[in-house]
Amino acid sequence: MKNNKSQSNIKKYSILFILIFTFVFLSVPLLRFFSNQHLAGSEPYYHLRISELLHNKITNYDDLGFSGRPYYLNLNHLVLSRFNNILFFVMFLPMLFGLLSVFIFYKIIDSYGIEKKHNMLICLILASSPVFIFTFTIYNLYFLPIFLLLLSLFFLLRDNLVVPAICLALLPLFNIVLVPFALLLLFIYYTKYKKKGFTLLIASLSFTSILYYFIIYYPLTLPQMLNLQTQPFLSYFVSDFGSDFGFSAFMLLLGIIGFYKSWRNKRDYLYIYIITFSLLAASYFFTKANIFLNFFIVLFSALAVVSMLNMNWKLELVKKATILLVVCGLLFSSVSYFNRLLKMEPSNEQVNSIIYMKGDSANKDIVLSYYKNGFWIEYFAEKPTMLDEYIYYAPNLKNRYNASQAIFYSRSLDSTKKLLDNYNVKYIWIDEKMKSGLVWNKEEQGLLFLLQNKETFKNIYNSSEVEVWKYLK
Amino acid sequence: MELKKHHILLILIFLFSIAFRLFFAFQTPYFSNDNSYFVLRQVDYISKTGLPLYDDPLSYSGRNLPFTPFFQYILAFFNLFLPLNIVGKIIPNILASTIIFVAYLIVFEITKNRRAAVAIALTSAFIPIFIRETVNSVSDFSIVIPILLFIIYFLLKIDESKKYVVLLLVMITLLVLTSPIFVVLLLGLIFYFLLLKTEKIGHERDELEIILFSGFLYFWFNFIIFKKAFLLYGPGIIWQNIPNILLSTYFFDINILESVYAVGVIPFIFGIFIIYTFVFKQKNKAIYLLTSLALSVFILLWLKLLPFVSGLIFLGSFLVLLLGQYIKSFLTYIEKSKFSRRTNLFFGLFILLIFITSLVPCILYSLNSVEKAPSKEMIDALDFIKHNTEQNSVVLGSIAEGHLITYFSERKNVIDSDFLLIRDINQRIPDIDKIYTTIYKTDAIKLLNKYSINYIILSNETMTRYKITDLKYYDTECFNLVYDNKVKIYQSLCKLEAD
Repeated sequence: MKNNKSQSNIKKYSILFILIFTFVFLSVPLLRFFSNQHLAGSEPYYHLRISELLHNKITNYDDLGFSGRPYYLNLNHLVLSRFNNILFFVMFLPMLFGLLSVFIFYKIIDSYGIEKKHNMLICLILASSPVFIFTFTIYNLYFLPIFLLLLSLFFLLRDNLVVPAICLALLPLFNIVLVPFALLLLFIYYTKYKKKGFTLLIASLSFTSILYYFIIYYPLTLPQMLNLQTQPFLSYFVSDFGSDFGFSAFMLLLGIIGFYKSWRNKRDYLYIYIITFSLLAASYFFTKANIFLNFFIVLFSALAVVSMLNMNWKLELVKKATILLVVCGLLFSSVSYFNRLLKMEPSNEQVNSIIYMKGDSANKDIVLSYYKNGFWIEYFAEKPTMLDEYIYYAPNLKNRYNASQAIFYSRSLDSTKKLLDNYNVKYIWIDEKMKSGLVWNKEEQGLLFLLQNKETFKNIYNSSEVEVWKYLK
Repeated sequence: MELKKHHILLILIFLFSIAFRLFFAFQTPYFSNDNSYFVLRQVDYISKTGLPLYDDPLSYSGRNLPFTPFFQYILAFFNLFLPLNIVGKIIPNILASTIIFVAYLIVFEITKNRRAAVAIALTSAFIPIFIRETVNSVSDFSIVIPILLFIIYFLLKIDESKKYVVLLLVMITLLVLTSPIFVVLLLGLIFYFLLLKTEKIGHERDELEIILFSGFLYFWFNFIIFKKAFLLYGPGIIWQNIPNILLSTYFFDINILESVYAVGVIPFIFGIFIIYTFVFKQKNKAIYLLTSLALSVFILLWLKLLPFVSGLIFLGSFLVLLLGQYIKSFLTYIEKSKFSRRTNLFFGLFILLIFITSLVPCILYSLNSVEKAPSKEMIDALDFIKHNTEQNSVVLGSIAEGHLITYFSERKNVIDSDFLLIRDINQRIPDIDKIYTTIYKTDAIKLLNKYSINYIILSNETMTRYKITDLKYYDTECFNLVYDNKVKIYQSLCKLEAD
């Protein structure tokens, strides 16, 4: 009796510890908020702007992105737009759902009868993984679907079909891209467990998907794709190399060891292998597949750590040193990533320069910058951009992108003026990152050389971080 | 503790080794290779700030250079009591001489023969290639080789006491902090396990645990230090971004004769003989460990994955240790033969033979090393730049002069011998060649402007290399010969306007 009570206490405290640990790693928005910094990253500004737009009126047109483009309604924005303080929710909703997701993940692992301490280890590795931290601190279109999928799995394991049916029905409304992945998970789940309810869940997922697609997207075809990745694959895959959605190198190393260890029981892991390798392949093309792959890499990493702990070590000191090294290795990547998020752009200087541009003219003049700066300019300057990060179904995507590249790199004043006129560009916003490798590698390269022509361009803002140029024609 | 005969012998060998090294080291006030000056700059910076200078404002006119800093910290510690130049001359030579003690310990552990161990202590003090690279250079090999041998020794003793485990972990950590070359040890240990497996000898679990720990430590630490380079070059980081045109001077095919000379004739022949004997005829785990390490180096050299000189230093150290086993076998053989009463004589002759065959190359290498030190005229020219040019000036010299410019003149260079993370390195070298050899002034000025060069040094070495005595495009309109005393220094005055 007493033993049961202490077991229950351990369980309670381990959950509490995991949640506190998760909270610490997800506290980036809180810390930024208290240090008067802006929201980290660029994507939240898109969701913020669109939700504010919908707050005033339901629309199917965004007049700022890509100098005006169709908007396809998303439940994320619709829900957000119902609140009065949208910024608050954009800031803190991911964090809240991060905590809930870890809690549910703990419960799911628990229902497989895995030892408490191992379960705790898995959750701690998950909570400190860079991909998880990013997903649940920077507002995006994936954190809610992850929560819904975890919730579905949690109730499916308890033979409850109602909640999973509702969750899966909602999933396409939050992010339709994830439907194939959800279908794969469902298919694997029912192949492995051979339980009832497969048709119901497939039906609920398919019904809303088809309905949503035909109402919102019809008669559109698949979106035009454009590979904007200019860095080597590793720089998108490993967080230590600068990726926002990447894995820590140490976790990957542990993941490989865990995979090797799991191979002895390969039949038990067959379905996990299928999902992992599918996601691995997908991550080559879609970086955001890493968000889901993360859960599996965490599992393999935890398996490696558990194997190390359970190994019959002859040298106790070496065991302690190795485990300490593993913990330090994992934490080092997480802490440095956390630190990176704290310092993530936009800086106050960048925002000030954009706000200055807003005040320069009341007109909806088009701004050219690197496509990743688009959301900031649209939100703070309320001016249309030539390009932004949301490339799906963007009008004239390839032409616009090629034109922007031609403007950035051409040293011919005539052809640059022609392109600027074609796309009605009035302002050019250049930050330090663009000048140090993101766009240009050398001084006076391409447009940087042409900007010296005072008859064509006027420098209206200049600081250590940003230059804003006005095109005079 | 009472000093025994072998202790006294070891101390005498140690003192002799230091005396030999310092005699040659102090033949010149300068160091033989330019990299020594890079290390000294780092030591100086660490002494002043406590931190290594990873973002160097002078090298390549400003660059980031990752490196493992433990050796520099050791020297910085001594720099607290001694002048920098003296630290650079004395401390690496003392550190390198400690190889004597650890070689003695290893060979005694393997052979349990004190005479063989003392003989190897003496031989290890005079490995020609090791002497060449450390006698008048501030090279991390001075500490890497002794630490590596200590790791081998503690690995052999790991079962005896817990203190050896602690010492082993400390040494592994120090080696990881000193040099990325630790990978040689890791690879050697993997070979060791393969060899044990093929010979059906069980390996100890503790050795496996050590490999696991070392692997994690090596991966983590080097990943932190070299992650930028790893991202940029991937596995190509092995070649350290050495320009294509120079790659063959660092990584080249094994030349057997040169290798024999550099390692020492007797250690080379009899070391390989021991490898042959123990791989095909006898079984001994300790010998297998040394054999695996030697094999891993040999394979890395063969595949051109290890710089030739570094590889030979490792190979020399391992073969010398293996020679200890041969000496033991030799002594046992003599003792069993009809010459048993003459064992001491044969032993003495054999040691004399080893000593002579190693000492002669050591002396020649040391003399050569002294000759390679920069000339007084060159140092005077660099000193002139320091006192007569603007602080922010960029000075062009050859690759081998780059670190001298930053150390003596305290000015920005255009190139030096650390190529890692320099993106345009394959463009820079032909550009520099062109500046020295072109006959067209506009071409030269264009390139001088490109690298913002204010001064050009034309040293004797550069003149010989490019077969010139002057810059062919030199005129007083665009250039000012500001220094001419065997070494010439030109000031660049003109700028080309953009079209």
